[in-house]
Amino acid sequence: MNDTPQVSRIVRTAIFVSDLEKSVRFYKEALGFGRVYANGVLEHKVGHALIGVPEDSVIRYEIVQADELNFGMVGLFEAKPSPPSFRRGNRGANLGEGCMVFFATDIHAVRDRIVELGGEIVCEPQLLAVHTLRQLEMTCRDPDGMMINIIERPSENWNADVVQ
Amino acid sequence: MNDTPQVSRLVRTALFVSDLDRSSRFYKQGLGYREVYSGGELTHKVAHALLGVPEDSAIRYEIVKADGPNFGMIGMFEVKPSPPRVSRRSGGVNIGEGCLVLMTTDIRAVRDRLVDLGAEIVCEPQRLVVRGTGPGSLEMTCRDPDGMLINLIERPVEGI
Repeated sequence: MNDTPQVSRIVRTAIFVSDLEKSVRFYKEALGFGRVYANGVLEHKVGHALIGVPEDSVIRYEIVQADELNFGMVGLFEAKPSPPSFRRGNRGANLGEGCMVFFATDIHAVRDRIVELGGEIVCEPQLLAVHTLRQLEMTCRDPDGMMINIIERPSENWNADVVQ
Repeated sequence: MNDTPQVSRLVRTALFVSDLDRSSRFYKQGLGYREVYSGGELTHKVAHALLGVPEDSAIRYEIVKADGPNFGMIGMFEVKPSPPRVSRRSGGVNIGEGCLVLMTTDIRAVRDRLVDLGAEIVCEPQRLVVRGTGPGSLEMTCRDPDGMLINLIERPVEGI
């Protein structure tokens, strides 16, 4: 054991979905997360305890990735019978929820694919000024309401440091 | 423009928090995300439209990261007046909610730090075995001070 335990960057954000196939299609076809890192059925009862669903629930999952690196992935988990849905009072941000942020090389093309696959637009692509940056951004919700922010940026700048 | 636009891996997950200073302490001290990638106030009105909050709201934010590339970061956004809080059942997951998944070299030490900083335990560290993947890993789930779900997985340092 170590006095200063390391914690990784976000390996993935897992989303609890109502229809696994629909969500897999959304993330593969709209966002291009076409690689499958892992999938199957979680049978071990600790899986149920970790998620906080009854032991007789059926948990299916698929973890998808954008490239060959095993971090920054999206995990899709479906439990049946379904747990209750999040209830949100605001179409935009609500306290206590998360929003996944991705870069894209062509925000309008991604926007159209998101809408075709059941996403709901919160804010159409607009030019946002932050510090010295000027970039096109949009927000939307996936078919189960998870919030997504897309930022247009050329791929060579995806790992760039922000200039304050 | 390209016929097949590229989308990056997850750059960050942004959290909508009630108290930026408390959340910043939680993620910096609890998880060791000590490096600040960006922070300040969002004053441009497009930011309010993107977040879907009134134009006269004050938006403060901080984006923190672990060592390494600028991916897999955590963003914290505080809007005042506060937007409504999501309504969810206590304990387990809800359809449409997200969960941050992180690996650590010492799950019990991180668990204690998170509890000290206001986390609510959903499931204490237990060994999860996934068929076909060997002896399994210690995992736990908890909620941050605003209720965001976090899943920690213990792995040796070379697995992180």
